[in-house]
Amino acid sequence: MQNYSATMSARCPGLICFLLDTSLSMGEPYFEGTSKAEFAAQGINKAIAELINRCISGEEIRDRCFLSVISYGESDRGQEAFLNEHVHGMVSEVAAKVGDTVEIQVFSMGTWQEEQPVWIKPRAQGRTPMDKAFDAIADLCRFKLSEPGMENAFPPIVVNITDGAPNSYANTAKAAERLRNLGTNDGKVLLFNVHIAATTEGKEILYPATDDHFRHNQFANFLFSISSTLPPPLFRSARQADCDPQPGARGFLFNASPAEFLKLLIFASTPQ
Amino acid sequence: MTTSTATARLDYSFRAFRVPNVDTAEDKTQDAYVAATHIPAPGSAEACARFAVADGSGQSFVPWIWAQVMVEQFLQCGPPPSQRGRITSEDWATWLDYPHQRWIAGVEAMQQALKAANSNLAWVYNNNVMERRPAASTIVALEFFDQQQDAATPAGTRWEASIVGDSCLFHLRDQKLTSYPNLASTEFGKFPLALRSYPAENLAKLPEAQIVYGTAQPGDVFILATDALAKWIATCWEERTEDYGREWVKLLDMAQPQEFADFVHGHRANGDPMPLEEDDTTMVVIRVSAKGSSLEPATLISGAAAPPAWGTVAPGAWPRPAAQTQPAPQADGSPNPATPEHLSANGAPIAQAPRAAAAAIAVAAAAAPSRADASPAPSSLLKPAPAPAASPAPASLAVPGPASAPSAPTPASRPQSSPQPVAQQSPARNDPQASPQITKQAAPAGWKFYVAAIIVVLCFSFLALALTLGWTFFEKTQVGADVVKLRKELEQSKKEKEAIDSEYTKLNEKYNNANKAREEAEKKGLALEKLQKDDKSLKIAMPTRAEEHKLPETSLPALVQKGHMTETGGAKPHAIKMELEVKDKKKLVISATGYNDNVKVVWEINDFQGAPVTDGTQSTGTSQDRQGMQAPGAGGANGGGQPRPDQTPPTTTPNPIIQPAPTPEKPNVSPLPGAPPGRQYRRVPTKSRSPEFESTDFDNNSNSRPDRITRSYRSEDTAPLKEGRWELDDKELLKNHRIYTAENAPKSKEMNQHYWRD
Repeated sequence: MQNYSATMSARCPGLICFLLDTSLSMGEPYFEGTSKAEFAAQGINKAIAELINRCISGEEIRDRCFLSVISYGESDRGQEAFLNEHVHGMVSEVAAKVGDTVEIQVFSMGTWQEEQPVWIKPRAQGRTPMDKAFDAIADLCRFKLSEPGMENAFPPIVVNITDGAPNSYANTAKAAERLRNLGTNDGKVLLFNVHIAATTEGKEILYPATDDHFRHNQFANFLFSISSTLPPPLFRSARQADCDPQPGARGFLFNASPAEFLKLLIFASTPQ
Repeated sequence: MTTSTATARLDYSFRAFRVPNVDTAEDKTQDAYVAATHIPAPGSAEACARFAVADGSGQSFVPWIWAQVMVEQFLQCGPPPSQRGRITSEDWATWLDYPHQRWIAGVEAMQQALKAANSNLAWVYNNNVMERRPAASTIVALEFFDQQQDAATPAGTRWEASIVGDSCLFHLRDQKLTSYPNLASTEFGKFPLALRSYPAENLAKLPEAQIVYGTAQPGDVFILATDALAKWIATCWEERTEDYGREWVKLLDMAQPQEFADFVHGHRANGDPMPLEEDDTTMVVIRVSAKGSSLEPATLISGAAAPPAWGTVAPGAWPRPAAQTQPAPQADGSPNPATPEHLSANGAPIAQAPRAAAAAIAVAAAAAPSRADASPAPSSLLKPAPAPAASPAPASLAVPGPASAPSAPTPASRPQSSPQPVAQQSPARNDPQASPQITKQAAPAGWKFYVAAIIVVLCFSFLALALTLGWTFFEKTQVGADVVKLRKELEQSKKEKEAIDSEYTKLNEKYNNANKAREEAEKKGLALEKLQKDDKSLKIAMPTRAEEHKLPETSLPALVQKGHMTETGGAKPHAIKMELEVKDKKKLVISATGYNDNVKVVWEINDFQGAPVTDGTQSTGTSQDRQGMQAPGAGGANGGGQPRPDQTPPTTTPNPIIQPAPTPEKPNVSPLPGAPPGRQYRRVPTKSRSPEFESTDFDNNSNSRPDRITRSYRSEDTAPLKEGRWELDDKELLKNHRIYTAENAPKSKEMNQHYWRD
């Protein structure tokens, strides 16, 4: 039974992970003076804030999912894939860090001021060890799914944000395969890939169902091949979020513009 | 008072159950329900029983308050006014106005409490309020009417229901179940229709709601259920297995809250053959029976109270829901202390209001300072000690009444007792225990609104007046006169411009026509050439028109006599004029003139009695003209083209055809003023930019590339990319921008996709 129909709840929490490319190329300019790294970090912060918003109930937070962010590039200690210490835990734990170790920044959105906690800070250093990140997230999923009661939970959702080709296509493909073979009774791990690039660099590809239009592009083809098809609940929430995936579409964006990138982040991380 | 209705009166006994979702606190249940009966005044068309269930959407913002204030609005005011059985979105928006105010107050109070408690969640609330994120809730609202409304329906049996979203009403009669709305078990979706807490949004998003209605008989059972249970019931009646049947009977005979809780938890468990979705689950069961014992006290069950016994009809006004929106946990079965208090408060006039004026009265109720809402439990929650903004009453009025017990805990220490703003805004009550403080708190929402509206209107009217007066005076000053004059000039110049434009259009047309004519003429010229090639016979054809034009027969003798004649090729404007002149009775001079006088061709025939011989040409035409100009051929009689010895040898090759003067080629003259004739404008194609320039965004504004960047080496535009290189004049640019050179890029990657800094 792989119908992706389970509900995320305190008893059966979902697992939502972001993989963030922090390689050197992420330092390139992307949108209105911000670099790709800055924008991606802001986007993930927004998605986490939205997730907390959905889980809130009065002054309490229902622990409906487990959050984790893994960056890959090069950390200060030389690690290739590393965990963000601010975002690793149940939603309530992540929210509890706001004001403590996580600061709140105020952004002006034109007509109103928005307070946005900053869990993730931008970073751009090193190469692109995507395979290491997939292995790390696979370990985490294996560990989480082995907990009692999780066999019927909604399968983990992994959103991978990158802007460059991995160090090794072969290794990364194998690692992605290992990751996508994990799952629960409700379905396999959902891996969505977002490739971000400034508008000058190429044509945007949104939620393709086939690779007809980018056969020649090895990198796009590769990301397409490791992306999961949008299951019905996510398909619905994508429609709800003003995206327009066609039936059979995969969770994959190439050369994504900022608006599309944000939409995917939000709807993929809040499927229910 | 019961005489008029005694024959038709039915009794409505009801029970309500609610079990929150596994991870939801009891007081944050997003479902709300209300169920109440009363005896309407004789002769009024008022309902005698009202039941409502609302299901707040978990994805919206503070839905638990919204669901509660909506069902309370229904209890007090009935459904929105309908037109021909339909409720338009405007009606909903008006009806939801008062719940909206209460919800806003509730959210504000929560914000204040969180701020006071220094919570690390305050930002969530602030952002949502700023973004005007709404709460959303479905509603199913059912009314029974005691009195006869029209001749068609029997007295006292009519029911009406207004439904938005996927909370359902089930009507069971004679083992037949009818579901409103008619949803199959598979049709319960994640995104149902809902009423939102900002009325403006409802206007855009709500379709018209249809009122459903029917008649009730003794023995009927009505069930109001939220989506999870409604889906379960729908499945139950689709499957109709024995197991489902047993469970269905159990559900109908449910008496204790604990039974319902067990039922829900049992079916929620994993692997249950009759699964119930994990969601807040609420059910109201109404049994209709023939007239039983009456004149019991009016009965109410809202989210706050859960009497274990069946409620019964009672006379008097609508009972009011407990001001407390956080109900005592139902499962423990303890009666809510607030219940007896508000049940004793019969006779509040608000419930007698006609339904049409419901919204207005609700606002008025909020504004009336004489009424206050109080029951000890909620009013103590009203006043969190450290939140001054939540109790905005002036200090002089802050008489500590019994309700404002100083023992109120701080919200931080007891999250369960967070301030309940709904209590502040709920419709007024006559209660002797009401503290003056709360009285004042109930007032502001109404009159503040009116005062603000009046002030705004006054401001606008003053502004308009000032503008009118100001303009009048301004016109009389020197500057004003100038402005008026300038405006007139402006208008005039506009008119002139229009005139010029129209003239331009006309000229343009003329130009186009001329061009067309010219093209035609050229075509015909070509046709003529072809014709002449085909037909070698001697003809005098007029040049541009390819028309044959023979000299009149009488003309030659006349010519000899007169010595001079002029012949024009037809009456057309572009015709060629030919002049024939006889000199010395022997020599014939033929001159042809183009229509625009710029070409002249002259033949001289020395002895026109014999075959003519071409002689010296004199032409003012262009070289083309000269080329096209042919000597008059040797006569047709000769046919051979052999010149006579006495003739001057021809300067050009003899041609039997008398070639007329060719089309005088006038250059393309534009009739438009100012355009030099014949000048052609050509767009010089710009050089395409090099690919590496395109992909390297030095400056975020691509239109203003820095001029300082120069190219030091470039072999050819088409040269391979790796030979290109950018060099900067300025060192600073190097710091701020990344420069990519192909040498540093990995060989396997395309330059326009991936870049690496060295």
